[in-house]
Amino acid sequence: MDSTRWEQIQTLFHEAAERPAPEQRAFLQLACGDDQSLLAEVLALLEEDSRGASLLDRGVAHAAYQMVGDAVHASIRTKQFGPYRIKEILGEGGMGVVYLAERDDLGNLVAIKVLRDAWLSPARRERFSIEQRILAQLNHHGIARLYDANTLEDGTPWFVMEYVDGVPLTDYYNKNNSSIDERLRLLRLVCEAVQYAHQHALIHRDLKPSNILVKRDGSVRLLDFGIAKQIEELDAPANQTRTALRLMTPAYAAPEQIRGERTGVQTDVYALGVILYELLAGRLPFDLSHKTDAGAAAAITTQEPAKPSIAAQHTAETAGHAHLPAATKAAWSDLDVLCLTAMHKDPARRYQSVEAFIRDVDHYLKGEPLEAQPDSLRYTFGKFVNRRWQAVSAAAAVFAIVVGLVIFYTVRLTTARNAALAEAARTQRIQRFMTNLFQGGDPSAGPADDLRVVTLLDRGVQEARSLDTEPAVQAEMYETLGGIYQKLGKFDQADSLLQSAVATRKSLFGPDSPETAKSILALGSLRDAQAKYDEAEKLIRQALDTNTRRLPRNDPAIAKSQLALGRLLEDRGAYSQSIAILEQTAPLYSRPGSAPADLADTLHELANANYYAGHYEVSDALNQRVLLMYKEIYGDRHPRVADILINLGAVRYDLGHYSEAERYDRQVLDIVQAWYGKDNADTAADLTILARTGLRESL
Amino acid sequence: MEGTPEERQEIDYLFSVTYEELRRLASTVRRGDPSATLSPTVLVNEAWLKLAASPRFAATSRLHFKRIAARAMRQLLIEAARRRHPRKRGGDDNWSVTFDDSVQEAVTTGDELLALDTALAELARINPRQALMVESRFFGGLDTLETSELLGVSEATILRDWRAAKAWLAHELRQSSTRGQAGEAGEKR
Repeated sequence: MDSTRWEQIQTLFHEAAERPAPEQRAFLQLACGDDQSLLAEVLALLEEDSRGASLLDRGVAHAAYQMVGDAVHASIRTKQFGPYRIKEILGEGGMGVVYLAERDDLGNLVAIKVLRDAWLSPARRERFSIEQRILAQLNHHGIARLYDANTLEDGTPWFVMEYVDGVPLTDYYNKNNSSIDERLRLLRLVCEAVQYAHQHALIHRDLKPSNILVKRDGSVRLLDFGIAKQIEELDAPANQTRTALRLMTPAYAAPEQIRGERTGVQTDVYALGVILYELLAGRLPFDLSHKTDAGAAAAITTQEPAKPSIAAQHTAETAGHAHLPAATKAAWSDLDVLCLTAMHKDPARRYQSVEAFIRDVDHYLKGEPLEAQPDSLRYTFGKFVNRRWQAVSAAAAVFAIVVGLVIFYTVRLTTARNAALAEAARTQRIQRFMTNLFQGGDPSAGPADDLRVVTLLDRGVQEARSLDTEPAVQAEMYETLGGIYQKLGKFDQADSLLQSAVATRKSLFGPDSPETAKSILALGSLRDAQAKYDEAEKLIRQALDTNTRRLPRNDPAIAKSQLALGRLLEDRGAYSQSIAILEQTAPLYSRPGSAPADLADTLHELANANYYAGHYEVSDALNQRVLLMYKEIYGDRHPRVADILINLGAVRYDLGHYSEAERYDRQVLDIVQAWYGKDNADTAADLTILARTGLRESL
Repeated sequence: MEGTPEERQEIDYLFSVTYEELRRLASTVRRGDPSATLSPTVLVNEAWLKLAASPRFAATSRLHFKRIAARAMRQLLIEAARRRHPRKRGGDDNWSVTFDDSVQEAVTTGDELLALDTALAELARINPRQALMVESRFFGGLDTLETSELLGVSEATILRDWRAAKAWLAHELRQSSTRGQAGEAGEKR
């Protein structure tokens, strides 16, 4: 056929098509005359036109799907790559397929990454090579190593990489039931690797748990720098395109990646924040499962995620408590800030480097305040007051040491012949301790006080060690000192002291006696504070059991064991169980002769447990009650009162009643000022937090 | 492959970028799911958005870009069809291809694409403008207005030409498949 013929065919086709169907054949027969093939051709066209069912009508989409979609799997036919033999496919990622291979002569396992569909274009081959060369630059124990590079006969590039025998990050910590601290330490390892890449001017841009493997020894490996980008790189047009939304995993994509804007180190910080969220809450911050691309984009760029602490609660409630770590309220408060700062929608307001993120992770692990500023002022007070409160009760508990030492000396001195002398000496000793302890008459001014307490404690331990001839007293001393070390957060010292106490008491009174149970309970409480919940529960239940069997029904030791159990159950997230136990404990402390402080403490724990369980009304009512009790016991402006006020403010803040929350917070500020004094407030290190939140002006 | 060296380079580069797009979009299409869309228009528009900012394409008009993208798409799909067509595999490539149940359908589609390619080449011989139009519309997803702008004719002409070309090509495809069934190697290279 030539062009003239084709014109002819088309003209006839269009003319015939305008006529109604029955008339078309007649018209054509007339127009074509003798030319039978012309007639046949035009008729064929009309036939196809009326059918309208060809590939051209269906559109290219379906065809494209069948040509390049997942229905077709390409697998390598050649099994031999240099000295390596392919064993099996490991997976697909980015532009490549990854295989497990074994080296013929040495027998070691490696991963081989081969470019898929290399035949498509040289540009594609080049892009693949560039990406792998990026990987070759990196030499860090946290990043999968690249060993070698080569090409097949047809030019297909392939690379030999470290084979990482491990599980994805999320699987690892879920399977091992890791505590929050353990999870954070794992994340920290990942951060170190990312930081290293940043130092080499590389942004990963596709951080996600499946790209982070954890080996059996607990070390991590970062994989798949598939869409990594060199910071500030100059040419290479292939890399100047924006990241295709499709090339990365939406769930971990930062808002700027979605919008196609410039990415930077903060983009990786964002991804680390999402990973942290998942690790804390047991789910992702946004539910993208039923969203279109546009919907997902909108969620990531505009929607605020629920706080990890709240999300964790919900996950614990729906999925059962066993697999989610728990922490104190103040700790969750910190974790919320840590996570949400990393995930801030505005890159400028995130941690500006992975290093800054790591610093705050370290602060958290050490129980120190974070550098990141939270948006609410509530958090600040909680942390501040709680740490100070430890010092306050430590000072108060020092009296217990003093009393203990006095007992010791009294015991010693009763052997002295002169009782009057003994009495005088006793009084002097107490006085000397007091004056040493409270220089200048200000019991809780600044870190120096902590040091004095610690000095005293260390001295106390020394004294106690020399008490070998008085094992009962020694055990008592160890237990008291251990408890104080615990309050100061010095868990290691507390640990050895409390274990010694248990051992001594066991040998003195037997393993199943209430005296021994006392020390076992103290050790259990320590384990609780150390977040070793399984052991804690075992010990506490053991103590409770002994006490219940061996003591009369209304013995305070039983109530004390129950309170400890209630606290532990709350700490490990078993809120309903905790509430049940605490509700049983409260009546025990309501009996005449009980210390009101014990009842108040029990109700305080009950209020917290209800708060975590989401029973805000109940929690609030309890807090109000405890508030009155504390005010009566300790006075209006005691830090323990402030602690309750913080709780009350917290609930209101969570419910969005900001002005009410602020009123509570101002009361807290008032107490803090009154208790610690304005001058101390100016110098104490912790109060720089207050300064930053702009409250210094109110001081 | 025809075209200037610059065009060939541009297409080559386009492959690299848009192939990933195509793969990803293809993988989101669930067979039989009417709401799933894999539209070349979307694809090409996305590719344009991605590349528009890059200096490499600074001098390219959107329309010209789309035309090149259409050609790239055609080349890509034809090449993929050739690779996957069991009878057509020649040479020494390292990859074997395994299918799932959609074997027959994929083979048919592959055959059709190859037949279309041949027929289009034939059409280009006798009416180059029309062939370009088909390529742009079918592979590049250009609409009537864009195509009319690209070719410098009225929309009515575009619609007429499209209708006729479509019918003829469909006929060619049908004949090709009949020939194939009769056991002949119908395609010309």
